[in-house]
Amino acid sequence: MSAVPAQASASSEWEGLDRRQVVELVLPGAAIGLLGGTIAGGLAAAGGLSPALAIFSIITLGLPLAAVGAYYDVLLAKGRVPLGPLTPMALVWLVGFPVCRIFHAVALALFDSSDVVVPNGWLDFVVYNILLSIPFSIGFWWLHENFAPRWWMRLEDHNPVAYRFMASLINSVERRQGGSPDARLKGLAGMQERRLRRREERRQRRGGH
Amino acid sequence: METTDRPSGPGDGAGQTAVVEEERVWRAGKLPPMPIRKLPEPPEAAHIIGPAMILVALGVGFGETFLWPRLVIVFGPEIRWLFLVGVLVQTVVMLEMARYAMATGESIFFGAARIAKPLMWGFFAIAILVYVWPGHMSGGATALEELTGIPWQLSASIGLIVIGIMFTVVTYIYNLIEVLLAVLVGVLVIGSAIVGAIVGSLSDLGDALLGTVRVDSGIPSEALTATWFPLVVGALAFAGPSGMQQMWYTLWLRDKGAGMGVHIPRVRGLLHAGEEETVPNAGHMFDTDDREEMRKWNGWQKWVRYDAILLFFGITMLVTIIFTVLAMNAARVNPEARTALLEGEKDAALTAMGNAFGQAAGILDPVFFIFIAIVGFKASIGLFDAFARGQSDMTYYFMPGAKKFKMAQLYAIYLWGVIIFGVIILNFGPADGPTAILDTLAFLSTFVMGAYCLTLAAVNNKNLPKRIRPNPIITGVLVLGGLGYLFALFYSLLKFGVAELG
Repeated sequence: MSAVPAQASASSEWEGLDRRQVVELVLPGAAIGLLGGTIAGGLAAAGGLSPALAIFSIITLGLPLAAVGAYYDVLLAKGRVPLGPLTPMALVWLVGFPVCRIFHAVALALFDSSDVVVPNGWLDFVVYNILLSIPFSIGFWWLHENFAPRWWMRLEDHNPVAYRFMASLINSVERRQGGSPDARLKGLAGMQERRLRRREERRQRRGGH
Repeated sequence: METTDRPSGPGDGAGQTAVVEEERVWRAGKLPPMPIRKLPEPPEAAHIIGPAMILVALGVGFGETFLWPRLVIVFGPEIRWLFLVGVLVQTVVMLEMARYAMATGESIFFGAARIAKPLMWGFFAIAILVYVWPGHMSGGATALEELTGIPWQLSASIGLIVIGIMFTVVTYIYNLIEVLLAVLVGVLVIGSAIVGAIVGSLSDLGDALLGTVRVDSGIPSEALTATWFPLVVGALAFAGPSGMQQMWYTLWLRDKGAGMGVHIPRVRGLLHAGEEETVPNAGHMFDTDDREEMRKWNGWQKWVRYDAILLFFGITMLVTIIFTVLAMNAARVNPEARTALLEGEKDAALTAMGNAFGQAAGILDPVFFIFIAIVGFKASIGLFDAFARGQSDMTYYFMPGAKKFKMAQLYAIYLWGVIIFGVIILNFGPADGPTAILDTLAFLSTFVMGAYCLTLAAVNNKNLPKRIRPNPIITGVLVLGGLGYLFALFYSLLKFGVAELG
C-alpha cells in the first residue's frame, strides 16, 4: 500500500468538511484581521471623527483584513502552508495587506468625497504598505500562534482538521518526552495534559464509551 | 565531568559491603554542585514561543514610544544609530542569559552568587532601590488621565491592586503572564502597523531606517550638553529591555521549562502554594561530553536564537521604527513639540507629542495616550512579577531560615510589598509627578545594566563547562557593553553633575 502524500490527505480532509467546520477553522485568522480594522475604526471614533466614519473604517479595512486572515487559515487547513513558520504567513500578507489598504483608502476617499486618495502618489503608497505588511504579519503570526491552538483544542473532537493541527503540535511534545524520562516539560506539555484530562472527563460523562 | 562517590543502602558496618553509587556532578564556585541530569529535547522553533515574548512585552515600552521619539524630534532620525547599538548589545545579553539558564536551570542571580555572594546581594539591593517605584504604572496612568480625566493616582492604585489579585489567585503565574502579555503585545504590534500605515509615508520610513544605521553621523554636538547628554544616556538604557529585565529573563526561561529549567518546579500563585513541589538546592548540568546531549543543546541554542533575533530584535526594531515615523511626522506638522522640548519643558513633552500626533492625522491625539496607557500597564504586569520572582528566588536560596516558607509565599510577600509601597508612594509620596520617578529609574537602571553585563561575562566563563562557554567575541561584546553603560553614566554624573536621565 503506498503512503498518501500529506498534502493530498489534507486536501481530501478539507473536502469532507461541512460549512460549520469551515467557519470554525477560519475564525482565528478572520478575528485577528478584524482586530486590525477595529483598531482603525476605534482610532477614528476616539479622535472625534463621526461614528459613521468610524464604522465605515472598520468595515472597509476590517472586513478585507478578516478575509485575508481567513484565507490564510484555509491554506493551513488544506496543507498548502505548514503549521507554524512565519514566512508563508508573511508572503500572504505581503500581497494581502497593501490590497486591503488600497481598498480602504479608495473607500474612504469616496465616503469623504475627496479628490485625493493618496497624497504621496500610488507608488509611494503601495511600496510603503508592502513594507508595513511585515510588522502586521508578525503581529498576526504572534496572535495566531498564541491563541489559535487553544481554539483548535476546543474543536478537535468534532473537526478532523483541528485534530490534525493539535496532533502535529502534540507529537513534537511526545517526541521530547520520550527522550527524557525524568524530565517534565512545561508549556505545550501542560496543554497536552489538559487536553488528555478533558478527553477523560468527556469519556466519563458519556459513561465510559 | 567530576564524579562523586556516595554510598547508598543501609550498610551495617564491618560485616556488610555498602553499595556505592556514583553521582556525577558539576562543581562551580563554592555553592552546592549541580547534579548531572538529562537535557530535554528542544522544541521546533515555530511551535513554542519563548519567554523572549515577555522581554519584548517589557522591552517595547517608554524607551521606544516616548524617550526615543523625543530625541528624534529634537535631533532628527540620525541619532537612532545609538538605539541600534543598544538593542544589539541587549540581544547578545539575552542570548548569554539564556545560555546560563538553559545549561543549569539556575537564575543569573544564583550564577552571580557562585562567583561571589556579595555580588548577588548587590543585585538584590539594587532591585529594591530601582523597582519599588511605580514609575511605569504612574506614566501610563498619566496618559489615561489625559484621555479620560480620571486622576492618575486613582487609576494607578487600582491598576496595582488588580495586578496583585491576578497573581495571587492563579495556579501557575507564568501562564497568566504569557497570555496577558501576548494579547497586549499582539495588539501593540498590529496597532502600530495600522497606525503607521494610515499616518506615515515612505519617505519618513526611509529616513527612519537610514537614521538607524547612520553611524557616521556621530552624536550631535547639542546632545553633548548638560541638558541633553543625561537624557541620551537614559534613552540608551531604555533601548530594549532596561534595568534588570534581562536578569529576570533567566527566571522566566526556567519557568517555561527551557533546557535544564525543566527540572525546577514552577512558581505558583499564593492560593495554590500547598501544591508546590520540592525545590532543589541548586540547578543541574547536562553531560557536555555526550554527543547526544550536545545535539540537544545545539537545538536549544537554535530555539533561543530564533526567539532572540526574530521576536526580540525584530519586533523591537519594527515597533520603534514605526514610532519614529510617527514622531517625525508629528514634528513636521507641529513645531511646538520641538520648541517645548528645546526649552527644557520635559514634563510638557508628553502632552506636546500627543497633540502633535493629533494634529498630524486628526485622529491620533488620543491614540498616543492610549498606547502609553497600554505600555504602562503591561510594563507593570511584567515588572512586578519579575521583581517578586527574582527577590523570592534569592531569598529562598540564600537568606537563613527562608526555606521554612514556600516559594509561592515568598513571591506573594514581595509582590504585595511592592504593590502596597507603590500605592503609598503614588498617593502620599513626593509630589514631583511621574516623570521624576522615571528619572530615578533611568539612572539606577543604567548602572545595573553595566553591572550585569560584566557579571554575565564572568558567570558564563567561570561556571559553565568549557564546551558550552561563549566565544571571546561574545565575551568582548559583553565587557565592552558593560563598560560603555557605566562610562556613559558616570561621565554624565561627573562632567555635568546631572543624574536625571529621564
